[in-house]
Parts: sequence; structure tokens; C-alpha cells
Amino acid sequence: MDFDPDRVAMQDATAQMALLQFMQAGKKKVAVPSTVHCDHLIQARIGATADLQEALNKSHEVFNFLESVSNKYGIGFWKPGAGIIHQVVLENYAFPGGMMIGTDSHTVNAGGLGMVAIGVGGADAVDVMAGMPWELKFPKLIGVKLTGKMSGWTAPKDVILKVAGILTVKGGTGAIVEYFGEGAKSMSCTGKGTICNMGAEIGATTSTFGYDESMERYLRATGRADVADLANGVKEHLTGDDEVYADPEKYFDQVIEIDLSTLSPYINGPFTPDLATPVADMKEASAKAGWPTKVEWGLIGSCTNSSYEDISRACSIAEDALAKA
Amino acid sequence: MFYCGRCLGEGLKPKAEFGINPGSEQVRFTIERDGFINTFEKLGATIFTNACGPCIGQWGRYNDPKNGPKNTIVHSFNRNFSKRADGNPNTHAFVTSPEMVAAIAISGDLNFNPITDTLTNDKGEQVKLAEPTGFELPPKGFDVEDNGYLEPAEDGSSVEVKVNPSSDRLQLLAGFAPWDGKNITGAKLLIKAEGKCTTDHISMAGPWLRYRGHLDNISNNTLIGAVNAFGGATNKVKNQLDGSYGEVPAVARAYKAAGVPSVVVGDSNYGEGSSREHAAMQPRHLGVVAVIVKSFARIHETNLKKQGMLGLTFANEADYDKIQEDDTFNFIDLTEFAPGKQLTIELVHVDGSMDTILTNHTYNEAQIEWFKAGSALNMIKAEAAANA
Repeated sequence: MDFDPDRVAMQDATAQMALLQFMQAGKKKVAVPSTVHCDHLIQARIGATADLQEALNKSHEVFNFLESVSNKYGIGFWKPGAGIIHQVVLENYAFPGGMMIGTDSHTVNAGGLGMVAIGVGGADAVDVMAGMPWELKFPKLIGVKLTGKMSGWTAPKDVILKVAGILTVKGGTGAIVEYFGEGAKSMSCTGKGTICNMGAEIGATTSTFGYDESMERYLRATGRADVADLANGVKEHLTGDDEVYADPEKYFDQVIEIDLSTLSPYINGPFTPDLATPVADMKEASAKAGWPTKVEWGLIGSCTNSSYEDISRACSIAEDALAKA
Repeated sequence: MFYCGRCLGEGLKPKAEFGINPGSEQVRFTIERDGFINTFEKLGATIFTNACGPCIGQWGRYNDPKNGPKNTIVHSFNRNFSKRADGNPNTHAFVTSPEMVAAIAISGDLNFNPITDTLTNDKGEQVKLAEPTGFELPPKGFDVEDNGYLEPAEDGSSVEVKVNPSSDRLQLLAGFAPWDGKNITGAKLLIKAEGKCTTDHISMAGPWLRYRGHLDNISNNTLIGAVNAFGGATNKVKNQLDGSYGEVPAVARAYKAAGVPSVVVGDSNYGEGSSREHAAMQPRHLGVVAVIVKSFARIHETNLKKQGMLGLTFANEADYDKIQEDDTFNFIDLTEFAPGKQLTIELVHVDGSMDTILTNHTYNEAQIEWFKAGSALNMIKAEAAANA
């Protein structure tokens, strides 16, 4: 099927060949709003200031090219250090009911704001920026019904860690995963982003949620009250119909149900994101597999989990540890 | 092991190192304002750039990652395949929520379950971590001083695109030559790939990604991972011009320099894997005119069409076995290229004998125009010029 996506986003590694090709198209400007994000060519080593300077020294010619080519063809440019493409897109560009493509597999993160966002190769981005239709084999539909409400140590991450365990790294291939139900509505917009982001780990074409109040709150908090007002005006069209959610087996090719009230925290790995182990069962699992249990690093952040909510919850643990003298 | 005596006068000392990479400057600025960065720094955390960093392997953790020690890390990222974070095949990476990462890193123990387990503080007391609490959105709102965004020029026609002609990482594209309207004859076999041939076999990743903006340089990795059906080696093929054996890119360049078109033959599901366009652009750049396989991965087939190449499948899969190492290919009815019509190829073998085979294709009218124009981009350019 042919589509006309509303936006294109590119990261600094894949943008290079995409924009070199776009220059060949003989166009004055890109046909749809497009952005470039410099987030891949920076190595983490010492800390933000030194690492950013090192990246500028090493890759300035790539950054200069991307900045100048963006300026020429009407493409928004996010400098090195401005942020990770998918978080910046969620904060600034994603909108309910929109469709976008991006030259990175975790473009799907924007599903957290009710978008249909799909990761593609550079050639597809070139087509859309040049005004050509974009072709996609019409996907299957997988429905995930979320009941109940999370509490305690359980986080949105645990929903997708559980789903990855059920569907495996191939189970979402050729499918769009739609999350719905009371549990979906009770979750933050950025939490929804985390779940959609890791839809890439089950091979899904993309994942998405229907528009709800959490998305409205996020739009208003990120300076987009106008988008929230427009979305509210057509909100019945920005989510599935009641009869679909009431009888999902009839409309989806596969339905999975997860009760958030009883969902326990998960830890997935090693070496593959679909090896799901409840935190409570790790003692047994690690002993059986012989995994080293001494942990050397804990890393927090990335496009998947670096929202204000994520950092504030992780920080509460850090504060508690500091206080427990 | 990490131990931060400098910053922790009391409480629980974290047993693992902490690294934080914020997703955007807006988030970083706001969490700094609200004191979260300060808290993490008290635990000795390293605050990395607002960028992908360790999540995509951009982590300078070791000087020699390939021989790194067996170890465990926990992170709140998305992927944890072998070598993904630090290049060390012995790193066991586990994915969990940010709050669980914090708890496990403080305990230093993969088996730690904060719901039931206790930790020992510096007074020797057993303490339990409280359940995480947080804010969906910042109570004082988001804030940022410089978000790092540059708005493009309203009229960019006078803006010059900066590419140094001597760069080894960037190269402006020249555009591929259009088809001359004649049947292609005298094309030589470059490689008959056997078994799995993904886009990683066609255009290897790793260190080559440095050249992804330089078509000529990255073309030096073309098909170096593919297994040659003749001899079973990778990156060793016969140069029919002089009978020598050489690396695939070198032999392709030799044909190109001699003005001889070349052909790639492949097995089933050729071109599966990543959707990157280099896997189609590079063979095209090196003078390959056709890729003939048992079957294609769909995206790669489309990419070949976009770059003005012939992506064909054997009408009879067993004809794959008729391809010999010294074969010459004549496309004898290419001048009648049309949707749904098979293309006929003469295989001229080294002993002078000949097989004639039929190939299928999935080109529609518009895609045949791409082939004629030399690429889809040439077609768009011609249309843009006509409308100007």
C-alpha cells in the first residue's frame, strides 16, 4: 500500500547517504517537515563535556555537512548534544494520529504519542522527502489489552519486557501492535513511548496507543497546547472504536492480555531482549545459567527510558540509598 | 570495583558504577534544576552527553573490547545483543526499568530483589529500599536554556553544502548513468554467492560505517562477506580478464575499468537484514548491472530497483546450478523490458557451450522507467527539471 507520511526524522549516521542522495533529486526543499539529529557519532567515555568536544574534533566534517545540507533544504537540525532523536521527536514533533518515518529502528518510540512511526532505510526517507509515496506491505494487527494498574516497583518497561518474553524477537514481524484498555490509559505518555520503543525488539513494524489524557498532559507540558486542543476536537477518531476494544479477538490477528495489577518487575537478558526473567526468579535463573552476578555498571537513560518520570523514579531510589545511614 | 569515598559520607555505598545519558537537553536541564543530577553525582555517577552512547556501542569502556573480561551490566536501554554496549563479547547485559537499574546497581548484585531483599549499610544495619516514587511530568514545568536546535534558512538556495573534496568520510554523489537502450552483452560473473547473503554480507558494518557517507570508499567492502560458490571462500573471486583471483571489490573495479559490466548471482532470500541502501548502491557503483537470485528479501529488491539495477529471480531455481565460474551473460531481450514479461539470458560458458535461461522480475511501469533513467533519483530529477 502507498502512504504519504507527515514527517521524516534522520540520525547522523543514516542521514549522510540519505541527504547525499536527496541532493541528487533536484528539489529546492524537502516535501514534508524533516529533521536531522546528531546523536550517534558521540562516544561516551569520560563525561558529557569532554566526550562532546572529542566528538566535535573527530566528526566535525560530518556535522558541518549535515548542518549545511539541512540549512539548504529546509531541514531542522539538532546539534550534537541536543539529545537523542526519538526523545527529541517525542518532545517536539510527534502528534496523535500522525504518520512518520525515520531512518532508525527505534523511530517507533513516537507511538507513545499516538503516532504511527516506522523505522526505514535511507532510500525510503529520500523518497518521502522528494515527495514520492511510501510503500508498505499492509501489516497484521496484534492487540495487547492492559487491565489493572501498576504499583510499587512495576514500571511500563515491565510491560514490554513481558511482551518480548511472550512474542520473542520475531513474534511481531510484519505486525502493528496496538495497546489498549484501562491499564493503557493509566500509564504516562512517556511510559507508552518506552513500550513502543522496544516494539523494535520483537520485530514489530510499529506499536501505538490510542489518544488519551496522558498524551494531552504531555503535549501541554511540552508547550503544545495547540496540538492538544486540535486532538481533543477529533479525539474519537484518534483511538479505536469501543466495539473493537470490547471484542478485540474479532478485529486483531492476535490478542495478548496483561494485568498490570499483578505484573511483576522483569529483567531480560543476557544477549537477547526476549529472555525474560521475573526479578524474583533471578537467583535461580542466574545460578542455573552461570551468569556472573556481580554487577559492574548500571546505566540509565537512552531513547527508551530517559523521561522526566524515569529519572525521577530512579532518583528516588538513589536518594533513599543515600538517606539510609 | 568502584567505590566513591569522596562523595558518600553516609548511607549505602553503591557497589556498581552509575552512568546516566539523558535523552534531551530539555530533560537534562530540568532534572539538573530539580536536583536529580546532584543526587546521582553523590552516588558517583558519570553524566554522559545527551546522545545514544553505550546504547549503540558508542562506549569507550575498554581499550581492547574484543578481549574484555567476563562481567555483568544492567541498563534501561532497549537492545542487549552480544557486544552491543561496549564491544566486549563477554559482557552480559541485562535490560530492566530505570528504577530497577538503580536498585541493582546500588546492591551490585544481579540477584538482588528490592521487594524482598535487604542491603547492609555502613553501620552494618540491614535496610530495605523504599518503593520508587516519581513525577509523571515536572511539577515546575520543563525548562531549557539552549535546546540545540537550528532552524533552516527560509530560502536555502544560496547556502553552500560543505563537503571537502579530499574527505575520506564524505563524497558528493555523481548520479548513475542512464541505460543506453541496448541489450547488455558480455557481462562477466563477479560472484556466485552461496547460502545466506544478508545486507551485512553485501556491505559489512562495524568499522566500515565510518565511510557510510563516502560511496567510493565504502564500496571497498562490497560483498566481502559473501561465500563464493566456487571454492567456498569469502572475498576471493576469479577475474576473468586475466584469470587471477582477487578480492571482490578489486575484481569489480577491474571489470569497471575495462568497461565490462558484471553480474552477481545469489541464493535464497538474498539481501535480508538491514534496509540500508548502501547494499544496492555499492554494487551499482562498481559496475554490477544485474543481481540474479533464487529469491530476494523484498526491501533489498526494491532498493536495487531504485538504484537502476536489474533485480531478477531464476524462473527455474535449479538454473542457479547452471552458472559457472567463467560465465558471460547476454541479456538478449532487455530492449523489450516490460511488466510481467520474463527476461531471457544467454549463459556463455568457458568451453563455448551455452545455456539459455529465463528470469522473472517484479518491475512495474514506473520502476522500468527508473531502470531506463539510471536510478529513481535520476527520474525525480528529470521530472523536477521539467516542472521548473
